[in-house]
Amino acid sequence: MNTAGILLVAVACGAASQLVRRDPIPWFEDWSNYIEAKALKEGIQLATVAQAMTFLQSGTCVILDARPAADYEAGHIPMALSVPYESVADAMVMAQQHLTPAGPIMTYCSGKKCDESFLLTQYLRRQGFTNVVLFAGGFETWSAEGHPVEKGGQ
Amino acid sequence: MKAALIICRLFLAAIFLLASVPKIIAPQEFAVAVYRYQLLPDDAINLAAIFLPWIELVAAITILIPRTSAASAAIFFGMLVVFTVAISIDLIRGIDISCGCFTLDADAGPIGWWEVVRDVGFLAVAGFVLWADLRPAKSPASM
Repeated sequence: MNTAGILLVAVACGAASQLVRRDPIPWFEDWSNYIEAKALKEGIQLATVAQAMTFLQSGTCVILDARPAADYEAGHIPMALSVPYESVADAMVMAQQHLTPAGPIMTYCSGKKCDESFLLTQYLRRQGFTNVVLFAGGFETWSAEGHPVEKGGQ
Repeated sequence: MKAALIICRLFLAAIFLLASVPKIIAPQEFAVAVYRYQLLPDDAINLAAIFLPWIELVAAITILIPRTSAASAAIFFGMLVVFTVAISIDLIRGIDISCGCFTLDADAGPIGWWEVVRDVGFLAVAGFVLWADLRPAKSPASM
């Protein structure tokens, strides 16, 4: 059996497993709303872009940017604090002073294809913050709607 | 030489067997792991999650058969090149994800350059098996 033969057997096994297993996955899937689906499954509240704007205008909600610091510096939602999920433990030391356990918090990352905001939300909930909402549209949606953007570090 | 070849075949078989089983058991979780790399178009994510683990499993078995060892080693070599490049790209892009290589636990540690070094090591083993299987056998007269 050559390489093509091995691949053919593997493809046949994969297709057969889809037919016989109880929990086959779709052959094709729309992943564009993945964060939303995962968040809803976990009971995380989602914010629309309009709600995100309301949070910003109210001034009572702490907005956390979960993207890498370089992305934050290139442009972020005004008043947002940088809490890159890649170094969440260190970033939270800085952000902690702005947070209260029951205070409203909104997280976001670059857009619907990223998941740092989802992971940050899970992290915050595990840390005891009970009022965390996720803005799944992220910075791409925010800036595409023409909302104000701040640049530079915090 | 022959002993080294057998050990390398067994090593690759064990590695890819271990890697394939969790992915076959939980294809949805593996699809999420593939998605998180943000390298494939949406339509290719589930297809990769369905077929990739079976390629690993079938090749892990066929590498133990001398007649199919070279073809299996070639498949492993190709897959490892893809895995190494994918991990490297995401490390450079700063995408913080778990590997999804041997476990699908989302809380597993994030990928790092260690995974790249490890995959390059596996690549060397697959390359050695491929080279040993493809080199012309010495005839008794030439010995």
